[in-house]
Amino acid sequence: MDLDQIRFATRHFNDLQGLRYAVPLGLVTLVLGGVLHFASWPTFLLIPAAAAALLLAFTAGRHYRRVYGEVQAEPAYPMEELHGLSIYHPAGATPRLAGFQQITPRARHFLALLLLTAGLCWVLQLMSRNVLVAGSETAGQHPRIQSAAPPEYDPYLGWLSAFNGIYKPPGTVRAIYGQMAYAICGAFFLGLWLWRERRPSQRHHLALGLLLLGLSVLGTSLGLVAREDGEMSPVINFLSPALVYPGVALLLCGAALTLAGLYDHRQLARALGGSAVEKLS
Amino acid sequence: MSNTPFEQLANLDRRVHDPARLAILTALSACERADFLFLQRITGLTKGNLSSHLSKLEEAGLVEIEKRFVQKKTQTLVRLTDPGRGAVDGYWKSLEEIRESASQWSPAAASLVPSAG
Repeated sequence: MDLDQIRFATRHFNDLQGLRYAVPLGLVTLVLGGVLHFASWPTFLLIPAAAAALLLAFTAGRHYRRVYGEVQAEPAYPMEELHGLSIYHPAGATPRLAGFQQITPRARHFLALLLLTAGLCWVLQLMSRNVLVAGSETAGQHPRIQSAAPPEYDPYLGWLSAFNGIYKPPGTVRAIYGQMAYAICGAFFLGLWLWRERRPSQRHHLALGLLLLGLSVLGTSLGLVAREDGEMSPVINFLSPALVYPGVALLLCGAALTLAGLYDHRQLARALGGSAVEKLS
Repeated sequence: MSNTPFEQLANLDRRVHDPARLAILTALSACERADFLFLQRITGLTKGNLSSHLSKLEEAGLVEIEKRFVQKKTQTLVRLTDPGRGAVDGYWKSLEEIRESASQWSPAAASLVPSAG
């Protein structure tokens, strides 16, 4: 391990603890997706799943402390910067900045990307026509997606047709929940990749982020490709359960979180298992 | 200011230049503080070796060592002091200067080649 890897593993020691954060979150998301997708999965399954995830997070935290030790990360903003501010500063006195200090760079990356994705999806929703989604997720039916005929307005209210995309039929609203899950999860992965210095070893986050954001954008723009007779291209037809069923979306997001967590854990175990000094000397 | 890269190399801060101590200081420069176990895992040093290096760094005033009890066990926490952070930054700056001067250095420019006649 070289010095750059030592610096990286130390700086990201806490967020590389995949078994403590990403895997429990992924397992809960998987069970939530399963409850929505499979009719045979009862809702109360979420309670033991959440309990198991909490137990895993607690046990993994203890395991990491016992096997790899503890690292206190650098503060998000150096204290000197905050101390330099006086009560006369336009930003306000130091105590008023306490909340500002808690917004970590990781959270800022995530929020910025989420806002961008939400904005893009909103524009696509406005631009595209409404779609009708037929088929039941819990019954295991393949969804049939049709373009909805635009509503007819009184001649004096014709200008409302420009805002067709705002009004969604109930079936489409469920699809939007799934697309939101992709957007949140995709922005999280992409934010994590930026936070981890865009290193080649973190490319799995970039890949997962792009994949999930791509599904979000594709799902949102279904109105642009859907036809009134329900015919779709084979690729979109194959992907359609993932695009319109929130259960499938949560299953995919949960699987992505679990895989990313396991990979992070593997990277941490590798980084802290070698002998750095021997390789340096 | 040294003239040749060799002199600059010889003047590098020995407290930092040792591979083990450089690994310890690099890890500490990337966090607020870390415990003994983490430093042992990240550097791959034995307990005795790490302890000896940390003592030397503490004597030099580059790190601060704090011991506390957690569940009846002693936990050793290590943090880089301000002079320590300065020493690490200075070390990398010196290395960068050496790299630059080595790329420009030639024996003739340094008047090491005896002139003819």
